Amino acid sequence: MMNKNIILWFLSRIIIILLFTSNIQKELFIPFLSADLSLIDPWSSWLENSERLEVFPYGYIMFIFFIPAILVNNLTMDFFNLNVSLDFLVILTLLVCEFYLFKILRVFKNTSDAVWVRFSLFSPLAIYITFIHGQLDIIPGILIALAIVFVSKNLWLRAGLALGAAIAAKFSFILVLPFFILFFLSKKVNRKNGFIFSKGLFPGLLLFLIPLTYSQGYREMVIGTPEVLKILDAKIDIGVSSLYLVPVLYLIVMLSFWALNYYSNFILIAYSGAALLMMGLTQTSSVGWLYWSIPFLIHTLKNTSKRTQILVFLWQLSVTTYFTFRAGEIPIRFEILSKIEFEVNPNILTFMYTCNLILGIIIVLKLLNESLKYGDIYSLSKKPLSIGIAGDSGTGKDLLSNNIAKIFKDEEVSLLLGDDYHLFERQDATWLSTTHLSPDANDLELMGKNFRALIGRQRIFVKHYDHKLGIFTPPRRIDSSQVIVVNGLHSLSFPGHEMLDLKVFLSMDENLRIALKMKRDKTERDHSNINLIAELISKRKPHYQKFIEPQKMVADLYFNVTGNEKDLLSYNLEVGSKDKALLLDFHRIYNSIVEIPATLSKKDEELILFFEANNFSPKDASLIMRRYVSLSDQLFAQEPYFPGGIEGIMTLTCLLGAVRKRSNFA
Amino acid sequence: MLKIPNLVIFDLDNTLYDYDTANYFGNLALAKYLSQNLKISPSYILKDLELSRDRVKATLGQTASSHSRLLYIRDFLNRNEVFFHSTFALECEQVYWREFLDNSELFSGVIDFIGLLRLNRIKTFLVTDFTTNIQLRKISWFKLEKSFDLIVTSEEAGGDKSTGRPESLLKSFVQLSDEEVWSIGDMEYDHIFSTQSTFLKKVKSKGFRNYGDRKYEFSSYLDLLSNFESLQN
Repeated sequence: MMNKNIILWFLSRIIIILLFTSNIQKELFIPFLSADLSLIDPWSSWLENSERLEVFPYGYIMFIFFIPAILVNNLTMDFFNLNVSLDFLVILTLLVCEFYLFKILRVFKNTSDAVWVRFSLFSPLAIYITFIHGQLDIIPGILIALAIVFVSKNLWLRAGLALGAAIAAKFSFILVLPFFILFFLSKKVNRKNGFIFSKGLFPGLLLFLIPLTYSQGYREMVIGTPEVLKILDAKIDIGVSSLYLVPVLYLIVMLSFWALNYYSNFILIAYSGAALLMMGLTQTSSVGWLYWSIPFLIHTLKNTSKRTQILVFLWQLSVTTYFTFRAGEIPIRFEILSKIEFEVNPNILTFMYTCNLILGIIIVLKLLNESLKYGDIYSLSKKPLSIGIAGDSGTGKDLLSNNIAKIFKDEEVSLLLGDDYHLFERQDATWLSTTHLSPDANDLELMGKNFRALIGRQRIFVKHYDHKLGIFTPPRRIDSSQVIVVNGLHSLSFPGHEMLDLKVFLSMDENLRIALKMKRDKTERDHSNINLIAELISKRKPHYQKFIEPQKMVADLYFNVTGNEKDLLSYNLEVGSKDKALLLDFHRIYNSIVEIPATLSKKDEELILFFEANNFSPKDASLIMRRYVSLSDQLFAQEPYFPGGIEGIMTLTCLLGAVRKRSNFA
Repeated sequence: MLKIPNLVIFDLDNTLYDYDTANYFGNLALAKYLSQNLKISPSYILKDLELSRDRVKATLGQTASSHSRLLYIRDFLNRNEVFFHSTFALECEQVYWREFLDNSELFSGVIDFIGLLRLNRIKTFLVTDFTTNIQLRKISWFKLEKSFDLIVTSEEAGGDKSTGRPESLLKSFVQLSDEEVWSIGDMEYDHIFSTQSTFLKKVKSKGFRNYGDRKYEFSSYLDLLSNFESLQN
């Protein structure tokens, strides 16, 4: 059965096409396209017989879109002696382009929000620009729509290809490039994507540059187009000089983007569109410029309030009226009605322009405000996401924090290690009377200060404790990142730990812990005296009970690893949480995926989720993550890779716990 | 003319969610996984899995096991001379179901409709063909575990709905006298208690219409919601 939205779109366009005709197409594009053009250098071949430079100020990609129309026109004439009007074929091309634009942006999808669909299908400005005024900006519009969709899906090579092609079609789209550059420079992990993106951009830029080398016509018609000077149309006279509005407003949008603490793909798209919208609304000579922001508007409005959608619709109606009044006519296709002509008082036009500009600026601010909300549902622009992991030595803190760092990509995680805040080196005599577990043996004050600095997005310098040698090494720099993981014996008790988004406590069955710690210290930290380790462990117990274990009381999430000390490859896991809904949800979804179910029980009035050593796979973890974490692209620049087994369950639970705390959907 | 029911019996696959799409993606993932491990083309695997499905169905007839992906996979592996495959077959089954669930979404309005029924103290049952384990897993996945008073699968009934056995099993749990019953499903055999109940057939095409004696077609649960609300008024 035919899609209702497609029928609605098609019928409305047929009516519009039958009613109106475009003067600009008749006077500019059609004469150009119907001339005897070279397919390699159409501009120069046009200038051989004409001096009109303004007829096709577009790049080669734009011309490619019309090659089918030119070929059909020529071939039907040559082979069937049929004159299929080029006027009709150009409109057909634009119609096909609009169909694909809506398809790419998923406007036709039945499940899409009905108000948004109506707004997109019946955008007065888009209809006027393409089918009444007759501009061709819909063609770079499709390419930019493709770029938007690829950016949303983190497909950077394709996004680069599409944006490059849009720039080759209409050079003005280069204006969105600074936003992409700022986006890629914002995070280390994005730089890799930026490199991939620039590879994609390259063919498009080449297509723009190559005709410069061989085509005089291209240089005169495309590069030398007076269109560029329209950028200076809008100005405010101040004394003997003028203030140009377009660059000022564009720069304001760009600087406000630069000033953000956090960027998501959605925010990048919203700001790029806002900059183009600013460009369009501050000039009065070319309505086509307003089309550049249409694909961005459609994409952004999908996730904004109904009120904003209606406001944008009304603004578009008003801008369309303004340009219709300015044109002074509505061209009718058939002479049932004669051409509608009118003259509007210039003062009324100026008043309308002022209103449209003010309303346009309000809309841009509203759109950016709403897109910051939707594009940052985890409020990462306000402060980084922070996770504290506490527990005794050998309970798996390092493993868990490393796994968390891996899913966010190491370069996007600031790791604060509790061991770096020990007050004494291993050989120090102080250790004969105390243990590392005592808060007095650690500079927790400094740890808290450093944590707060990282939360405040400042970089810190911390001396590092080398476990292998038992000595401190020179201070190292830690930059503040999007995610801060605090890993240490006192991660839930240092001054300021209350600011942590998720507090995690780890414990392990004593015998298993001793067996694992001995194994680790013997192999990784080069301790040779196993008896000393056993003695140290027993000596630490009172301090553990006094200083470490009480942190469990403040933890949002705690893990207890159980198992057999004789089988160090197979563990079980108990998970408890203050957030009962998290446990219940995780239990339900885990059991729907994994063959060996997790069991839920009560221990001291608390819910405990028990996982047996199992074959929980990284793919199972990814599936649960996708199901639970909305808009995960706002957290991860690339698809996160989870470990399998118990480690995977711990990492995933931490992620879900942190996300639930930070999600402003909650 | 529809009447407010006392009991609503739902089918699951293709009635509460789009089984066909989920199955399509599940099969694709399975074929890809088998192809990576066995170095056979995915298109051959997809075709051959169809053959395995037909063979298993022919052998087991109208039973729950005849829908078992594990059995299709085992038949495929046996015929393609992949022996000693116990663990691998289980892995393959998990690959299929993981992708299946990842591509399963309840139809829009299902939660609201069932919620409205339960709010009005109308009993809701689920009667479904397939093995119990996977159907219960689907129910957990869709967060429907508190949505049905009773669940009957063809595995526990000893035969698919087309054999009438689930209906017989259901009768052992429920005594019908003057109750108004709605059966909701996508196939004619989903019309449980057909002599006493109204059948609401889930179809893909748009609209809500009466197509026979106490038989209605609907495409969206939003239509059922509005119909139910108008019956209440």
